[in-house]
Amino acid sequence: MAPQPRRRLRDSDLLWRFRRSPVAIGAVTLAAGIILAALMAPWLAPHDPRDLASVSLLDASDPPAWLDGGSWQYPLGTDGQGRDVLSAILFGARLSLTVGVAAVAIAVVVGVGLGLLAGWRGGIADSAIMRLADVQLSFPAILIALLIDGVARSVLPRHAQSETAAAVLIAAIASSFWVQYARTVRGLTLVERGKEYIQAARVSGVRPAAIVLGHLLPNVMGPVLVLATINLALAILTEATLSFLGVGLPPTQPSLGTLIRVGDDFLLSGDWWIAIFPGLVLAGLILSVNLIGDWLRETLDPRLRGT
Amino acid sequence: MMRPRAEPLLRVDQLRIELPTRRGALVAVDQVTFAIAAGEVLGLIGESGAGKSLTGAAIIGMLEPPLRVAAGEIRLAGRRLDDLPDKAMQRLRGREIGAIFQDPLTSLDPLYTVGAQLIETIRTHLDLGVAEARRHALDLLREVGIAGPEQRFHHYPHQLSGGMRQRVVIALALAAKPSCIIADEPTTALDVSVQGHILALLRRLCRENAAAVLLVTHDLRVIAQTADRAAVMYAGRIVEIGPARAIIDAPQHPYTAALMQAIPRIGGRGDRMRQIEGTMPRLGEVPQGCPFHPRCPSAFDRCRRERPELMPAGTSAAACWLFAGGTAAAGVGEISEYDAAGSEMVATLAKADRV
Amino acid sequence: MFDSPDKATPLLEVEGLRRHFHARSPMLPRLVRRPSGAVVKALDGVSFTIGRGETLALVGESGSGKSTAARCIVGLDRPTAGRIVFDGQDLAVDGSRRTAAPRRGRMQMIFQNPYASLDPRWRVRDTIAEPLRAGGLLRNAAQRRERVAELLHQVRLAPSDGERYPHEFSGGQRQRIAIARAIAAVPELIVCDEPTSALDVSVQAQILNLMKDLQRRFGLAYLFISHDLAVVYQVSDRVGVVYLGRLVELADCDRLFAHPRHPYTRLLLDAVPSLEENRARQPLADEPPDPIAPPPGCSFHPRCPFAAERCRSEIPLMKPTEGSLVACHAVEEGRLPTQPAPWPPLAPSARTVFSARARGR
Repeated sequence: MAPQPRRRLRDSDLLWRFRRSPVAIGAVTLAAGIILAALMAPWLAPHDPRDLASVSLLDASDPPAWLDGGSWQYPLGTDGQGRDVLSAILFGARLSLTVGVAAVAIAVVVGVGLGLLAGWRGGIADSAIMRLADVQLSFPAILIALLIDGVARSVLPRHAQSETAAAVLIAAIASSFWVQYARTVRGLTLVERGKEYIQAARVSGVRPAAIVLGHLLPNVMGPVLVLATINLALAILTEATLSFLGVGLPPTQPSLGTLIRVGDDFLLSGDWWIAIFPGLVLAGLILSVNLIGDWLRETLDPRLRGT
Repeated sequence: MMRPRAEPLLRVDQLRIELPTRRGALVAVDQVTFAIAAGEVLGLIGESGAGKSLTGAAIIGMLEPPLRVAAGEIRLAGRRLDDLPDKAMQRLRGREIGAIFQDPLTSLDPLYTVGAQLIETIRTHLDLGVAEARRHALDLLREVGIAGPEQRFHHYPHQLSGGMRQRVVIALALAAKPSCIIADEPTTALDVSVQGHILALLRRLCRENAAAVLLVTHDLRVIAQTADRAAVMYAGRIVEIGPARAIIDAPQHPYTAALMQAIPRIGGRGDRMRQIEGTMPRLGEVPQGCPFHPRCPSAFDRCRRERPELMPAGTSAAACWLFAGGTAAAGVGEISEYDAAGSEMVATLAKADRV
Repeated sequence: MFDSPDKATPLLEVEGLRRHFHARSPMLPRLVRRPSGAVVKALDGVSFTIGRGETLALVGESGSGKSTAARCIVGLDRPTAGRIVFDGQDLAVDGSRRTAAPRRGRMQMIFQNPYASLDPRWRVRDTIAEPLRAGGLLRNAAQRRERVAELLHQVRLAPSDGERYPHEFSGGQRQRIAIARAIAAVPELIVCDEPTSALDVSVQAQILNLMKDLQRRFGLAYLFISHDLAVVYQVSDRVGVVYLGRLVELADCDRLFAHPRHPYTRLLLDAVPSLEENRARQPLADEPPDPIAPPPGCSFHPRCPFAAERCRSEIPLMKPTEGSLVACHAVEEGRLPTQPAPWPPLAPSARTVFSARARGR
């Protein structure tokens, strides 16, 4: 029997399924909301938490506006130094997202590139890349990030550390994430390479680079996109974890993780809002991105598998 | 071929299979009706998209959702199959209905030996101890013509050739002595020299076990060798049904005739092969009236408006207005001369006034 | 007989083509242990020629090596030994980029699986134009568009079909697109690997007719790989029968089918499913042997009813016999009984035949 014709991913069928799935709609709304707010932080935030001049110790540890002692000047309260929690969250989310997206982007580029190379060339290149990936996989992501971070701290002079902290963090997270892309893409490349349209291109004399970029790359990107979405949540969480542990971003560039760490100290003394609100935002962001990724994978998977 | 006089074992009545989509339900199979008696092989012929595999899948109860049986009845020995709950169908499958699929490579689990798979199937459906099951399995292997069954018992599927694997699949299908077998393109993936043997095996086992066999295929030559009766499907409907030899030697429906002509043969090579213009309509694009009329050389007005039912045509039945009886003078097509190197065939169109 | 009927230089000359695969264990165990010596001789010395504008078919079952031969000729695979001479130019065995150039554009390929031979993400027009771009022909985009429209017309598709994607087409239509791509750069030889095996019977006839028409118009030569003898009969000028990597018979089409000489050819013809009633079959073992360990001498001898002592030890060579080339000791020694042609001409009493042109199409 003739196989079902393979549908293009951008079919309106996808949109139709999206509109019918309340989970997908809810998740996208939440994620979009947080992301937009974070992007607009400089304009949305009532205060600039980075500007030390605007911070006043007199306003320290004010509770959220709807509680006793709070005011609408600081809608979600202030932390121990007098910084507005809401503004800190907005800027922090921005930072977390930046690190997360950058890390995943680099991981995708490196991973897909190496995966294509390994799958197409085979032989020694393939073995070398895969052994490197195996080694990488045997270390948990956080350990690798800690390692790179530690090396950076010992190598870079102190004053350069805070500037490059974000870059180091991004590199650390990316270096542990590229492996899954490489493996997935390598597997897909091996499958596609045997297909007749690739062979037809070879017969026609198309150069290998052109075949890899023009034919293989578009055809392996589907699963990569799904992976990247799910990975984004993990990257943000990893950054938060590292910052929480104190080896991520410095306190001068507070991300959501740093905020939670700072707020952690105040939890027992009753100033719960300093940790809880950033925590809620972080959880909401990760949850919604995860849900989107899961939904994407469920919707696209059978079509990707069935040609 | 003499049709066995037994009561039909498998009955399919007005089967209709639909595919729900957001634009409404698409009809994949419609008004399919046939019956198979015990010890009889019915060939279901059709090209890809005709709906023959779906029909087979519906009988086994393995239609992939969202495809579903929208109307009609399927009865095995009087018992209705199409409305059975999953669990009941599972018990039936293997025990009463056996299935043979096209690709022996994927029909067998590569991780288990042939013997292990046979024993598992046997013990699932028959109440036998391990030793008895093993004996039964060896008997089955012998019956399907595998030499040295004791050694083959311990082999893995990849150690067997394609032909042997298909024999094992047949053995698995027959393990519980089902009364009905659905074979979907059982020889398409096999080499030519092996096909004949497998088909002969199938036919022999059908007779010996008095099973009703539905042989789904696109190859009319397979039908010629193996089937007693044949049904030709086009765009989800049966357009002709009758004794296999009648269908092959004297096809009545224009589609069947054109199909017969398009089959490449050895002997009588001309400049061009006979072809049918156009393609079979896809789901949802089936034209009004007779589904074949856009490609039919004898189409006339009624064909475009009304869909024909199956009506008697010679020793078969054909869904074609040419056989509506009475006048249909407008249905006469061209007389063609077919000149080939070494042999001459002058063909005449079947006249519409035949009943 | 060895040469094609065209007395001028044959378009393609293949001599002693061999392709051996070494069953390799993975790298690490190989370093520790010595490599296993298992060799699969997919092709073991195949020789033939193809003249301009002619169709040579290679017939055989799976594992015979016919597809391997096709891939070696067209450059997808590197032969282990042998010569491939295309239009007088030796395509070196080392397969370097320099020598691949003469092939490009002049030799093309059509594949078996129409569902995998087109990139699902490329528009049809881009797929068809690919050989043009790769070969540096028609650098002007407008010229390429014109050429694509012309090609679509030649394979009987609509010009608007160029804008669509492969999934919108049926198997037969996809094969047409593949054919359009194959003829885009005006090749002289097209290697067709089972081009119609995955298609329905009625579509198969359309595609084969199209290929014949194109051959007549453009003087194309075809290397037609197939397992279906009936199809081969309809399209070929000459036929080569392959068994376990070796050619066992090579003859003109009519001669091969009317007077098959090699026992394997007879077996194949006998096994072709026919529309006649069951004919008595030769009770031969249906086990194709293991290509890793082929039998010594003539590889067909375990299944051959005429096998003698010599067959078990000496590999037969292709020798001319009454117009065909046959590699068989029994034939050479005259031991084979002459068989009447297995296929009687079609009886003139076939009843219902229709003209194949649908009206108004």
